[in-house]
Amino acid sequence: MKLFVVILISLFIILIGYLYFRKTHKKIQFYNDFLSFCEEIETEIGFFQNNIKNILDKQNYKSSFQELLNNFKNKTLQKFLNEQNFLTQNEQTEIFLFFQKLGRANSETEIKEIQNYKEKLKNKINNLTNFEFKKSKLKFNLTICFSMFVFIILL
Amino acid sequence: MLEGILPDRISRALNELNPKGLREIRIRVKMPIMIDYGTNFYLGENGIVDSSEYALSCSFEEMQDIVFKACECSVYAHNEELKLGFVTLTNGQRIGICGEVITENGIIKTIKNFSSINIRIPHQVANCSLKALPYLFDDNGVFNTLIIAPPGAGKTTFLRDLCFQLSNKNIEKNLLLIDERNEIANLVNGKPSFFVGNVDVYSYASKKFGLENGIRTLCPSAVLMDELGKEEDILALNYAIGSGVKIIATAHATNLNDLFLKPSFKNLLSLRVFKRFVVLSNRNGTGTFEGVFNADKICVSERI
Repeated sequence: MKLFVVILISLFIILIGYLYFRKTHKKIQFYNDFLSFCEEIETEIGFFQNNIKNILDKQNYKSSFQELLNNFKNKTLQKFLNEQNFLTQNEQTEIFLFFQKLGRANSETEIKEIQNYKEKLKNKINNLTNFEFKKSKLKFNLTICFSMFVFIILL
Repeated sequence: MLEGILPDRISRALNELNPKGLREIRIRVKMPIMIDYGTNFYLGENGIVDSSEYALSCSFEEMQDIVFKACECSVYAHNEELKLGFVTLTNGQRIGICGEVITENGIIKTIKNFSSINIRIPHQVANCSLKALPYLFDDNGVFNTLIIAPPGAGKTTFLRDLCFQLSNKNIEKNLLLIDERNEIANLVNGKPSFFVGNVDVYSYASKKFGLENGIRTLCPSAVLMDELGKEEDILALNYAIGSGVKIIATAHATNLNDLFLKPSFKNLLSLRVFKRFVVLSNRNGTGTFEGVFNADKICVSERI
């Protein structure tokens, strides 16, 4: 019985580390897809002048970014963003404002806005992969070590 | 009516109206909404009201949203139209737009901070051109014809039906319709929303582009176009007439004398390019047929 409880505690500690690691991984995927989307709309607006609805209909992403686009189409973006706990409050507001402004100006202004936003996204992805991802990986490894330590002590 | 574009309360109120005869809806920021059935009324919560006191109005934010939605949430995709002061909805309704015109080096870049809109409700009045039609062609086909009327007197509706009749009755084989604002045929996914017959349609094309390219590539026997008036239109028209293509166009003028006084038409009229003039008015309601006149301003039709 004691062994079982100790294993359970150790696994729980590993799970916490894994969830943190997964959250960062999910965030990186999300922002990578967001960047691809910005590149796509830049072309669609700049060259084809396709309307937003048609552009959105063409998109197919595997990350939760696709859900974001679906919610934007269904006008439930704010609610969706509030539910995404891997995004900070600031990030949620920033994303919401980006989509709020989308399609409201002439193509020159739209493209400038998208290019600015792309730069922001690139910085964010760099920061996430070079710093946050390594940090989360380290934390995950530390939780494994810690769980082993707990396992030995308790046993 | 206009759900998805107008705010719910305005859209609900418009649904209370009788669509028959409704010509225009005018919305100005923080002003009573006006509706035009030939006579102006105000739009109240439950339909028509006589006093502006009970009329609905629209906020600045709502106005920006209306134009945004009319542009299918993609203002950039409709910027060329916006620069000309209008947007055409997918159902053929034309929205005239007023606001802050942004220019750079004298060139219009866009319009922003929209202040008022005028929604024109298009109508298909079947056979409305039949009274004039017998006087507009002979064995060699249709004459060069100018349809004249003051604004809102049914020129576009008449032109739409004339286009259909010419095609349907096989008076002209290859007709080209230059639909500058996409309101005559209202092409949606390549298919006209109104009956214009078996014709080629250039939508959102300038008359210059339509005439020069259309004549080269589509070999039309007659070209139909709306609202002739600008210098460049007249120049392009000279090219078309020189190519042996028949022209049917509309122009703003209250009567023939008014038309002959317009400087842009002076040269064209002195050369007697147009053999027939169809005059419409609002005398007995929209689209009152005043008669068909020849180049000597003599009425050749029965006067109604």
